[in-house]
Amino acid sequence: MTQSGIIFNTQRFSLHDGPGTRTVLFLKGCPLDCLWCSNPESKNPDMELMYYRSKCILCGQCVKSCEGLGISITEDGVLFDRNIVDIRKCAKACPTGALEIVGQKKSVDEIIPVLLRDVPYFRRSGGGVTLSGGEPTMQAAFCRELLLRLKALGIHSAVETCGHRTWEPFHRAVEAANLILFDLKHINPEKHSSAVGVDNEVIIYNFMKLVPEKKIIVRLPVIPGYNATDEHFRAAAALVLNSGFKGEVHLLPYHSYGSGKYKALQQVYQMEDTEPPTEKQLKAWAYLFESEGLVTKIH
Amino acid sequence: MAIDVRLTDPEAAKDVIWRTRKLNEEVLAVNPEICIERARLITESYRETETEPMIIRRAKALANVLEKMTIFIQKDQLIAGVQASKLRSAPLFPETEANYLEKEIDLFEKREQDRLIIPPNIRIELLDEVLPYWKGKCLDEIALASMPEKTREIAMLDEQIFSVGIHLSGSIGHIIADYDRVIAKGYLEIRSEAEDYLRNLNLSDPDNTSKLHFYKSIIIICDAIIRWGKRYSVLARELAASEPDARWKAELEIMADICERVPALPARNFREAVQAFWFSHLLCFIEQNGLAVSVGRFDQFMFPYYRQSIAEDEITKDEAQELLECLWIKFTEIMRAYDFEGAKYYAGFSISENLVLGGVDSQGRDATNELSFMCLDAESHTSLSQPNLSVRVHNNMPEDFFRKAVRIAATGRTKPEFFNDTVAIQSLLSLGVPLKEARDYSISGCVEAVPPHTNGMTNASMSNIAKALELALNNGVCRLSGKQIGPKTGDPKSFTCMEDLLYAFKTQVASYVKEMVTALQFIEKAHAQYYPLPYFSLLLDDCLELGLDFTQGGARYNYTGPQAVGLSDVADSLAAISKFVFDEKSVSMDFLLNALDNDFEGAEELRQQLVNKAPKYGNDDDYVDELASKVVLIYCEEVQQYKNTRGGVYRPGVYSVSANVPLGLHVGALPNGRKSRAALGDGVGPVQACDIMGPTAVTRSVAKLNHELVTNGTLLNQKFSRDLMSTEEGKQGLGNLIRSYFDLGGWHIQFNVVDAEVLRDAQKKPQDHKDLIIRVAGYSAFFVELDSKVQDDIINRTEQTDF
Repeated sequence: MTQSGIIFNTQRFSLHDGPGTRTVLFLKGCPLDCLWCSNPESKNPDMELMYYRSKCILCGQCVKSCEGLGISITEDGVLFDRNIVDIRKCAKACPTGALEIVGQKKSVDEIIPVLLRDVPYFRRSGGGVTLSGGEPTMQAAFCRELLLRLKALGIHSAVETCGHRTWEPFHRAVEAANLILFDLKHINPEKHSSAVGVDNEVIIYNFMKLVPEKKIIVRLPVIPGYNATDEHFRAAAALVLNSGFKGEVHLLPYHSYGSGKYKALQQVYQMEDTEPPTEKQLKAWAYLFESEGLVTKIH
Repeated sequence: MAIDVRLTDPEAAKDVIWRTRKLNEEVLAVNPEICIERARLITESYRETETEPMIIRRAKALANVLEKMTIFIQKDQLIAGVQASKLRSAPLFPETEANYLEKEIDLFEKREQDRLIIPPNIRIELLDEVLPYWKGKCLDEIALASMPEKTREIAMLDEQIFSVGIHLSGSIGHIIADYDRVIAKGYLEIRSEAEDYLRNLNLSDPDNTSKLHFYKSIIIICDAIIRWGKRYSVLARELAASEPDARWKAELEIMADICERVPALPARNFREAVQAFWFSHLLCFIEQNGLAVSVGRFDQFMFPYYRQSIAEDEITKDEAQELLECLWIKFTEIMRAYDFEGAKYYAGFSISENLVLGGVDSQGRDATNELSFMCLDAESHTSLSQPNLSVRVHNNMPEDFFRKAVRIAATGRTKPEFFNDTVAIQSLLSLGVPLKEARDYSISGCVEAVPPHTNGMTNASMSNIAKALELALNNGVCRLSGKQIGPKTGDPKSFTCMEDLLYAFKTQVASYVKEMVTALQFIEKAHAQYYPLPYFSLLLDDCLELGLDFTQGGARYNYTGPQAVGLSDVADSLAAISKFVFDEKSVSMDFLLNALDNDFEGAEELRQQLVNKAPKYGNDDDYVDELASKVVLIYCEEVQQYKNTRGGVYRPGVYSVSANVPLGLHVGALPNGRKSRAALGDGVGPVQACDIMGPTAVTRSVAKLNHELVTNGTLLNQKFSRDLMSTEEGKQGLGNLIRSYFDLGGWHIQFNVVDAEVLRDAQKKPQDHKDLIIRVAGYSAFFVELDSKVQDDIINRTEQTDF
């Protein structure tokens, strides 16, 4: 019996999540609640209904399928109460895909063949599979088995993690990966807690412990109003150097590409007015790491 | 292949020298006109030669044009030789164009595609002096009149199932000439070869009578070419004498010296070779109006001259580069006044002078050389539609050459296009071409691999397999006209499984392919009789040796290549029927056919279900990809059984140029949710907006087709956002995608970069652009799912880099 996990997307031809051309498997569920998250559908570990008004033709099939329970059509499109409506029924009935379920339970056996589809592309590009999310280590057993299977098949694997999981399961989850893309959102514990809901103690502990053991790329989101300051990046550089880390550092500038998905989930996007950091700022912060001999990229 | 005129790669722009920039701008600035001179001179000659053999008449007519046509030298252009009396004006070929010129004369200035200005005096001269002579003599009339009635009827249907218009309204084109030979020998030598052949002819042998006329025509043409070359020498000398600018004066004097020697005598160095090449290439477009007269392996046949000139210090690398760029610009000077319909099929004055770089040599070794790199530079320093540039890819090619080519492709100019040596060579071997010549293939026109010395007629017809499916689903009756145009293959309501439907489809394909081939045989015969091409013939060794014209089978390899258009729509339609009607039984055939009859009027929910919930080709889904493979197999097996009039075979192709739009106009609603008369899918690519799994899934789906069987070639157009292609990762991803697609057996791939206009359209019509992917680290979405403000942001950024 293989492990199963909840995934919300398999994205092929990904070029920015580890080396080469990669297939990224997005796992659903995250212990953090970042305001800027560009995959809001990844937070909740359960299946959810998303609704894209732009795809909807107001045909009413969804209402029919649920006999009107918790769902109706208005001038603004379909209105539904996600606690009442039968999300499977109405998504299945929707002919346009405007109503769509995110999150599918899949076993390792079911997923592996999908991940292997692009092996010819991995081979040419030095790519492979990246587990992302959400937070993959929330589904540690699934994550572990998947990575072990990939390893046995000789496929390069990477895990994108926020690092927030107690060491034991965290380590078990990522142990078989070739590369860890380790996010550090903020170095200051209170600041960390203020925007993502939890402090960074476990995260920093895991990071320090993982550095000697695994190939890591440090990924620093650059979020104006939260961590986009000289002070923060100086502290981040100090911490990274202090850990003995010798790998690459990637700066991930804030973007609002995910805002439409908040709407689709009937949630409010709270960073509407945030402007992305300027190139000049990014270069200056990148230099803090480069000057210490760390290869630094701006994505 | 139609190519958008795009602007220069910003990275390369800073290296562009003033001359290239100036000439490039001058070509782009032209508002194309019609030039009447050729039509006037051809007609003048035809009137005088009515009692003579056709091939002699053609030779004399061409000689008359070369003797009397206006020639000019564009200031600062280092290469001499123009097609018509003004820069980028279109000469006329009443031999095949007279009928449409008369009918459409007032459309040229008004039509949306390929507008051409006709000055009033020219319009009057055409109507009063030139066109009346051609009544009943124009090739399309002759060819159509010669066809069996039923074939003619099907070929000329309003709601077309195939279009053979290209060789009714134009000549054959599609030659890969032995340019190496004419450059090395010169036309004096070729003339004396023709004289030798003539002298040794035993004219009492009945097989030799036509050879007498053939060789005489070659001699007439060689003499005319030699005199025509000299005209440029004289003109350059005259201009130099009165030129105040010392630099241009000196350049004119060099030009005069070069043109005094070539093309009559062998080229001795790179400058002479480039000039001799251009004269020879240009003449193809003065003799005849067929498109896709392709350059072939330019970096191979020109390299010896380059190497020698560099070694002997006759030219510097920079000077050679400058000369190459002058040549690059001249390719786009070639014009053709397509008819109204043709302009839709081959949009953008598409001439398809395909120039191939790289690849293996006849021994299988890498053939890339310094000139290959310089040609890529010439491409990135210019921004014009020609040449149609191709790069042959093989495992042993230099990585830096490949990367350079990919970087140019990433600018979104749809070229260079990439070809897979392994598959192209294998497919030529399967046609019986010896390994040595198979390895020496080049591309004729769009994607058609041909060995040297070929009359490929590779774009013989565009056929509508989507229409064949419509007929299979309507018992042979055209859904648009209500006419019975295909065989009665049974009421689809009686079909109980996919096999029944596929059998009906195959029967419809077999029926129209037979009519199409029949039409083409008569068209080929008409060309052989009324539009022989003695100049083309002297460009090929075999024609000269055999004393047989290019149109009559004189080339070493003779193919006829009709294309299938609409593959993805057929595959998706079959998949939808398979899933909903036969597997799930959730939609009845009756209900579906009713919806098709009514173009989904009142059945929008069904249409949405067909569009959104059925498997779609291009997503690496075996369910539908296998059906696509079956469709290709059916088409190929039907086509490849036929022989042409020149001793060669029919080669099936699956590509559309822009024919997927006009052919789509003739197809009713389809079970993939496509509305009546909408455009069909392009080439072997997925239906627009139906590929939502990204480019690896697209290429995997397409690679499942048996490309080696599609011996006339397949075309895959893959699009990318400018956002992605402006990143280093994006460019690397593009290169790796090409390599992997070719590992999997793909034939050809080219790239479009999605511009701001398309993104704006996607905001308005998200359903038509579901396939636009956004790739950012750790993030997943499609463009149409982004919030409108974010979309605006991306559009703005795209515009900034689009310029």
